[in-house]
Amino acid sequence: MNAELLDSVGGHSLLLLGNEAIVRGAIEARLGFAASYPGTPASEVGETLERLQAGGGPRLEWSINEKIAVESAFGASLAGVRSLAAMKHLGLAYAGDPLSTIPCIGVVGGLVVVSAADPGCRNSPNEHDQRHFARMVGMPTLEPSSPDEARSMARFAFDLSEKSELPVLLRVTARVAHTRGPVRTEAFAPPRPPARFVRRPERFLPVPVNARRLRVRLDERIEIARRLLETCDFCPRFGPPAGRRGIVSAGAPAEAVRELLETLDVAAATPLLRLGALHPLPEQAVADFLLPLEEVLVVEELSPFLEEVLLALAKSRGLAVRVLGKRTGHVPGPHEMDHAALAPALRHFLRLASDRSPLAPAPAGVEEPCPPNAPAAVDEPPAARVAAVSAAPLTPPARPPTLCPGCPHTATFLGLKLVFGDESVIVNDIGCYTLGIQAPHRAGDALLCMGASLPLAASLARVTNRRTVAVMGDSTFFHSGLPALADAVEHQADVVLVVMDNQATAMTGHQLSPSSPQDRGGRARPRRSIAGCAAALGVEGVERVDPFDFAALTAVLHRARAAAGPRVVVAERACPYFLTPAGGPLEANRAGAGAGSGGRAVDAQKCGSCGMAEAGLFCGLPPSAAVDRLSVRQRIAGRALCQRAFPAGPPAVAPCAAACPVGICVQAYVGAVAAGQPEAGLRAVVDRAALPSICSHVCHRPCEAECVLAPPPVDGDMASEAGRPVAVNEIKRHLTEAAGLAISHPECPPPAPGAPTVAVVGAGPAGLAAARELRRCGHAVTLYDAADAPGGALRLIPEYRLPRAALDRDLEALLALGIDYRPGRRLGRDFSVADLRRSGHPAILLALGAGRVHRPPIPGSENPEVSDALAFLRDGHGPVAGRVVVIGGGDVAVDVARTAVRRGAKAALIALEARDALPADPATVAAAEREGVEVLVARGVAEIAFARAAGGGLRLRTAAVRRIAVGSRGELLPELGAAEDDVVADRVVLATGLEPDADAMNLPDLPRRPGGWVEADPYGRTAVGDLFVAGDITLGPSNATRAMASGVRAAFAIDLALRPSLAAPCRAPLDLPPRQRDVGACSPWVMAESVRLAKGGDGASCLAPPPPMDADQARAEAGRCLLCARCARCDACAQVVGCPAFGPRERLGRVIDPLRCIACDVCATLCPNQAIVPAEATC
Amino acid sequence: MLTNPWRLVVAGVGGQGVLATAGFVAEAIHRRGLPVLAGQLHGMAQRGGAVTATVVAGGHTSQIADGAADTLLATEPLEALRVLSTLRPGGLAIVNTHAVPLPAPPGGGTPAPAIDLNAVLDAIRRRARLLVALDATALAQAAGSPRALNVVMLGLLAVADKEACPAPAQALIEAIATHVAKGAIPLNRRAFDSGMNAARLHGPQPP
Repeated sequence: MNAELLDSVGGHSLLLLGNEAIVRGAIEARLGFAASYPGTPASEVGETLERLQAGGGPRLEWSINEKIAVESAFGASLAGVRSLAAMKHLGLAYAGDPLSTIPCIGVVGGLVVVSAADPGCRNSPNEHDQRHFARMVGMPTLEPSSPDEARSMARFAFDLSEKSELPVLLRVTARVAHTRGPVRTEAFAPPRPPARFVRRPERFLPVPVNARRLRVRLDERIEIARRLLETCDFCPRFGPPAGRRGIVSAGAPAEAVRELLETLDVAAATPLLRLGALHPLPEQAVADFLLPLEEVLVVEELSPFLEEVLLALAKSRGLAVRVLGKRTGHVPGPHEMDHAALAPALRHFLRLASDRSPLAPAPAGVEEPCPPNAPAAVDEPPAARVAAVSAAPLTPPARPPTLCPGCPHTATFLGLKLVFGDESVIVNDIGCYTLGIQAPHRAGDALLCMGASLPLAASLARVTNRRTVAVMGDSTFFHSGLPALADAVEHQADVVLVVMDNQATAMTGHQLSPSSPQDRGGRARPRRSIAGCAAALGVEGVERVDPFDFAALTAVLHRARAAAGPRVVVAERACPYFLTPAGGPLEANRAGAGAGSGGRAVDAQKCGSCGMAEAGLFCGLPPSAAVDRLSVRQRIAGRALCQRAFPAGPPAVAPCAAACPVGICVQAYVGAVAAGQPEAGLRAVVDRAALPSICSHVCHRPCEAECVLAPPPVDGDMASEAGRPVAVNEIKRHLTEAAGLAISHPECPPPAPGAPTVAVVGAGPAGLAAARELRRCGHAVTLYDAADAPGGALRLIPEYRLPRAALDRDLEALLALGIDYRPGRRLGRDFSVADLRRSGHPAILLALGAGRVHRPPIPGSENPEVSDALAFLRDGHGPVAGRVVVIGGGDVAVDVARTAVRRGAKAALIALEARDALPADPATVAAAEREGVEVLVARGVAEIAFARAAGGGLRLRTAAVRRIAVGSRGELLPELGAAEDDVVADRVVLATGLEPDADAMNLPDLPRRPGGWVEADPYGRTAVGDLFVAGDITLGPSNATRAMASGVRAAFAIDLALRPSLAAPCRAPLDLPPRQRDVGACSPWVMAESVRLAKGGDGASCLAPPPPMDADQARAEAGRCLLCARCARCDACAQVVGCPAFGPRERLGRVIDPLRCIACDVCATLCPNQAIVPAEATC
Repeated sequence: MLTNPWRLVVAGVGGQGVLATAGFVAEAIHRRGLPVLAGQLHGMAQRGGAVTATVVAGGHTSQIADGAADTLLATEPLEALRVLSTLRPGGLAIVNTHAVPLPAPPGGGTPAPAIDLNAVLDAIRRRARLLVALDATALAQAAGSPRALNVVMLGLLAVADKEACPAPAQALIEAIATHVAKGAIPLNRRAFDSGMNAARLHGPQPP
């Protein structure tokens, strides 16, 4: 093929694209030099010439831009060399400056500018019509209608150019440029004389004195051109020499008209003039054609250029013909003139009725109906006029072009959106990266033309006072980004320019750019430095980064964002589809990937693998609640931290979720809040926590102690983030208190009629959680409780820790689940276990709690004036005067002390343990001290005496603690030193540990542990078949959350016993050993708020917990979560990366198309579950 | 030599060689000395988008009006559906049944309901007089490479359309051989032959 294109003998018939035919024509004209910038639909002109150079073809240069291409070609022309410049239609406009003056100077060697237009906007933003431009500057214009005509016109154009001394526009449209057709090659003479530059200052220097004279010469040249075109062969006529109605057309539409006339069988009766010479119009030939006609229909694309020219001609020649076309509505305005557009226009014009034989004349007297394309209907695209018979009932979904699998731009856009956020303004430019405007990236808020992204972004930044992002490619950077960058630096624009350097002009076919590392033959060539250019222009802090190195990419973008003034980031990675020595990108990448010779595949086990699912604890939330772009950012940001915490890979269950006693998937609800979906978050909480508000107030927060961010920071790594665990509980408190959401329990099916009822004794946290769980399984439940109000020990938690409103709200929601609640019934006093059995309860859950304070053998403590903590907390809210001394070091003791303060007393606390061994939560101890409670540690009370003198009251003789032993029942046995200080008190309250109350102690037949706690297995099953236990009665003194979990496990055990084959899986994990809490693991948010409030007023004014986080605070805090664990069905690969190699979701994960995946590993890097693994080749 | 124009529309997904296929058919027709035009309005085709190409023997323009194509050759079934209106009622449709899945709408949108292959083939059958539908991708893989899909399609065309198509098998083979690397000729030959055999075995099915 190449040989035939260069062959000077000719006489072949080759099947060539229109663009290739132009090259042949130029070669036949003995072209010496060509310059081009790639642009659809003209790129093949340059590509063909490039290919032919090796065989001796004329020299081709890919110019940096179209202006330079024209100037380069003109420079050669000045030395007498026949030259050609090729570009798309917008490129012609870009070269407007030189093209405006070249006709005045005049060419020496023939200069042909090939410019390809794009009717229908298949690859362009507009339907700009170059014909006006050519006429404006004085360029003769030729338009071929077929590949063969393109060849002959190209050949002719050089002669025309030299004879008229004007540059000639050879103007094609995509239809002709990209149609392959037979082209007849002709012989041509041996090469022209060598180049020689002869001085002609009166021409070559168009300074004003010369310009005025050259202006006159311009008109003369145009007239020469017109005379030449008058006699050329490019305006053939078809059909009869005369008729009433004729058609004038040009280019591809002319051939479409010709075909349509034949199909309608009126070709022999309809004169048709196909104009190949558009400017200067061969007026005589056209006038001769128009003379006999009554009406002429001008069929053209883009704008009514010819129509207006013909109108003027007809008027100036006094012709009577009516000129019809786009202006008059007889031909559609926009888009390509295809059959669908032309058929009605021709039928109407030629008075052919659509439902009769086309040859039959219209009936007499029929008024000319309204033309089919009258302005009102003009903006309907041609496709809409498709005949009804073709309608198919099914419409396939759109399949737009996308970024290729493995495109580095994917990674860059991901990074941009992660760092700058969804609300940032990104201005895009012209190139492959333009495709980034589509989902999922949506990286593009405005688009104009080559190199415009930067000035647009700079201006937007200036007037809106917001740092803006501009993106453009390497080729575009050199094309017109350099001056834009100089401008941005001059004005210190508040812009980040990201140059997406894939080292080629990729969109148009991988032509070379100055950044390309090798030429088309695979030979290395020097790359020109974009970063160097930016630095030379004065941009500070220019950075280069590989977009596939995510950590580096985000770090670089963060720096650019944080800076002031213009910044340039060059994201460099070669387009994988550019020619590589090993062949295509698939082979190269895959060969390098070792085992992954088949690309990548999704490991279904790991994909849908939330560990909670394996444990039967899957939360069931839809995946989008936890994953979106945000989670990808979190993974990238916390990667090093997570890798240190989990060197073997992401855990199946997040450490926070693993620590939760009730098995809430913490990652799910934190992720939901971070993603702005509080409803989903609350659902995750309520799924496991029967009393969510209460949890959010009083939970001891083992999740926060386990958070990966809890340990102090390691040097240099996320220094500001580590050391502060995510304030998980506060996020939960936001959901229950401040998000305005109602608590909606999971569905509890009504029990089957006649089904037996489970008895639950004790409406504390364990009993309540068990009751809900049993109802969820569909059992009937009767809940007995000794007190008149539900809640058990929860009611003893002071108001400043657990507001009554929260308590009541949770209890009300839970008791509304169809539980038969019977308050005021005390086991042992009002009924017995035997009674319950007789009532037909097949299973009985004893959730009796730890209802008594252990009284240590302190002399004087048996005095009735010494009260116990439970009585104190239960008894009232009235004022307390004087000084209250609390004996004990646990949470209950602190609660008593702080409650006393709020009731007006002064308080002191005496604990046996050393400061760092206090059982109480250190945060509450610190809070107590801030409130004025005196905390005395490592002291024991040797005696409580009743001082009659000095105003009454009690005196406690205290002593230092030497050693603490533990008794057989678990009680503390301190060894005290000599009694030293006395502490005076008006009241003494014992908070010295809890034990089961007397009635609970009297339950028959149940084995006990030391201390009286009922022995049971982890699921609350006792030695007695129908008796189950949950909560403190079996755990020992614990806390509300563990009690609830124990209730859920017991409910599971009961369900299993009652319906062995139908039982649902246990929804609470097995009880974990209590963990040591780090001092630093307390929620700093609450600490800060408490301090703030305490400083604001006196300690007693803190009657309620600090207000919960609002939505923004909660979302920001949740955004810190690193989402450590695998999450089920997250879909980040397809949803966030958007690689087209991902197919539809199958049962447990996405399918990757092995034919498209090039193993770039962007998805694998981002998959939170590390579920994307190398695949074996299948063929 | 051509009594009537013959028009072929080729449709598929970017990267499947749609333009090359049209090019081979045009080349084969041209070698016989017959007038032919092949249209290929592309620009961003490679990037996985829908691609259409045309071959018109004996016409003035490479455009094909709705209902004017004699034969539809599709390397992908959804793409066959997309251009179905171009095929004349009663024309011949040759369709590869191996679908290229559409990526789910990224960014979390609701996926479009899956299009059932049988419904697609039914719609095509209602339009065409004859339908040849089989998994040409599998044939290409068996011949040695899934990339040879378009050559398998040409083999199918050569047999299924031998009455009307002005490009006979021999001319197609020669056109292909001229344009592929020497070492790839045996693979292409195998692919072409397997297409021809499959068309002989399965034959076009009237509705």
